[in-house]
Amino acid sequence: MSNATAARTLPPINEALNRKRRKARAFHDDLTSFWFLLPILALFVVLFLVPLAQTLYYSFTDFNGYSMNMHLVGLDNYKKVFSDSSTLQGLGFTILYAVIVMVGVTCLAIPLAVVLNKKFIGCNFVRSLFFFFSVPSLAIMGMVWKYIFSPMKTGVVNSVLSIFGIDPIPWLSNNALAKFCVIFIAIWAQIGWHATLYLAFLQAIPADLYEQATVDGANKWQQFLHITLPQLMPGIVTSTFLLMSGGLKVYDLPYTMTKGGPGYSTYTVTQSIIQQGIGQSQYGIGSALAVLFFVATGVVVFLQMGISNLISRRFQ
Amino acid sequence: MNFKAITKTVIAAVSAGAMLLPLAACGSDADAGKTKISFLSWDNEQVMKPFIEEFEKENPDVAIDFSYAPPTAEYIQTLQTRLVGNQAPDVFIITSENKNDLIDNGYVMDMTGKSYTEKLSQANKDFVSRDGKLYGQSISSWAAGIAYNKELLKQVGYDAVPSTWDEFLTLCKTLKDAGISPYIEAIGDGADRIPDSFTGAILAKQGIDVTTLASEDPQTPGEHEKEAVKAWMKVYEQGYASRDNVGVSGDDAKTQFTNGQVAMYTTGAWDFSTFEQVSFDWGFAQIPAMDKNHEQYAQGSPSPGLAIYSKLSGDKLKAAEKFLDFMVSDWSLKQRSKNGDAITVEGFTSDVAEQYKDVYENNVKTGKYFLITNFYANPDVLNSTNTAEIQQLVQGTITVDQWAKNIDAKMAAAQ
Repeated sequence: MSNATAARTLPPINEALNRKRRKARAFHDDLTSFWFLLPILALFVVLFLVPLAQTLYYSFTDFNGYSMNMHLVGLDNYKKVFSDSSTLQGLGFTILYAVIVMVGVTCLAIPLAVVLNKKFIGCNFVRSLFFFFSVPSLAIMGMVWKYIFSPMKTGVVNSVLSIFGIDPIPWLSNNALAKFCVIFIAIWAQIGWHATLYLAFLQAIPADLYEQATVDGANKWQQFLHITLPQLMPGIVTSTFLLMSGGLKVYDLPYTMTKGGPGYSTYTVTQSIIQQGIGQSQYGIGSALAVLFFVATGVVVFLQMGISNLISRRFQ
Repeated sequence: MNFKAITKTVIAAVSAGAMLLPLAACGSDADAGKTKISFLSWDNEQVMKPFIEEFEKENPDVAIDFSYAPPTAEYIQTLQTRLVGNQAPDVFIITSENKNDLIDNGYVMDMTGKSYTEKLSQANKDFVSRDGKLYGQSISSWAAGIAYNKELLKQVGYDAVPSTWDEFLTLCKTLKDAGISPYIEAIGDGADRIPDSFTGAILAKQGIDVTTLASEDPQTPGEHEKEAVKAWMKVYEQGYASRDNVGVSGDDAKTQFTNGQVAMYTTGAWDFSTFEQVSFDWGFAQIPAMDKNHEQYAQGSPSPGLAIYSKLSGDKLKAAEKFLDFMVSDWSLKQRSKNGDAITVEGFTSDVAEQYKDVYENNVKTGKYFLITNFYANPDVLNSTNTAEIQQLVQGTITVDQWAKNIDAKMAAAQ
């Protein structure tokens, strides 16, 4: 074989070699990534997948937490969940809470973020002030607001109303008002945090977009609708996802304020899982409820993410 | 190996050694040769330390390994985990929320006829008994009563709370007519105390052995308490207590009472320290009887008892029994009494507050008290269901019959 022919045949060999080398490097990179991921994977398996599998198994048993000698009971626990009126009422309030809080916080946090994004004297202080409301846990908020919304004459709100000659309002004694109070506080407490999130997205919007729009004659509302809102879509998706997932698993605020009452009016699914599963040693029923709730939450969150992505694409 | 590598190895070895040292210290203790028993309490170390120190002083051959979990849910969860995980404490607390599970699963030793149970009051024994067998040592009890503002009652010509419910309602009417809010209860916390006191008297009159209630199938606490609830609801139906009590917590009610905004409040000795801090003249009376045909019972309960793990044997069992003997000794009862417990052990009288003496003598020491969640299976189900259902009843959204039906249906489902 002449040198010229050899030179012509060399490239395919080099290419194959290169491909092999690239594959080897990619495999090596993958392996390195795998070793870095291994600790978190191990934690995920131990702290999430194993308990999830256990919960699924317990949901088909009569496990009472005291004896490992449990029996398979088929779908009995699931039937009990669906026939329990308190659980169903809890599910109703949980969905109501999650949806209203998500909509309420989003509708109020965006305008607040727009206002906080402007330069004015003490703007940093005001931003910190709104963020501060979200620092204490909702459990603490619940305890404090329980006194504020006390249905007695001595309750803070009722004391203020009495100055204007208004009779005491049964804030936490009336089913509808108790629901209103819990949802109101959840919105009030979370606006600041979500406004801060939107503020971060707002500050990343290039100023020249607004300058061009102003030159083109767009008014403030048009600028908000066609520049601010589309640019905020990633923030809205993140914020609503957090609000919806957090709202569905709410426990601390209603529990500390009303313990789920009056009656079952502010009872939540998570309270039902904790109460029946742990408090009442009915681990089978608690597990069945947890499995159903896990599936339902997954469906709701995926639906919500799908809708958010659709809207997001529409704006792009 | 170069110098750097040697240095690193030495540092690593020393560090590992330093970490092991404290572990080694755990093994080489002053308790070598002693019988060690583990004790899981829901009283914290500050409360239990004097007892343990005195016991170990009196019994130098026994050492107590003390651990603590706060009441109630966290304690029950901790004990449950230890029992299922084969790490059972040798001595632990048995109470209304876990006694049925502990007995059903054979975790507690039958201590019937043991020396450390001889002087316990019958009501305390009944609390932790099943089918004639005793499973715990409960030495004190509590009972609720009616705290009243003496000044407000004096304004309408009363100097004490009457002894029957009808007379009590008449007092409420007189107070209301005089523009004074008569009565408050913390229904927001599920503290409807009156029906339990009436039910205790009804069951006593019918001669029902309350220790058999947990074995009944189906469980019908609603049906048993219905008559009592009907009588109690008159206070709401006649407008002497506000239906807004469903949103009132114990703290709210206490504030109203200590501020002089309401004349009477159902509570217990746990609120006395607050009453003492506020300078007003108050008294504490027995809960009125449902009518003249029934006795004056209180809502109340024996305090949680000490139980011994059923699989304990040999020296450990002897040591655990010594500890329970010690817990009913004079020294121990005096210490308990000093801590504020109302002791019910035969031959011992606690030094209780002046206002509490009537309730202590006539209810606590005589065992004339009743707590519905103490004697039925699934007390946690009953407790949470009753709280929610009683709130709806006071709101007026359900009737007493519906209340009873809902309670019994929930109990049947749990069974």
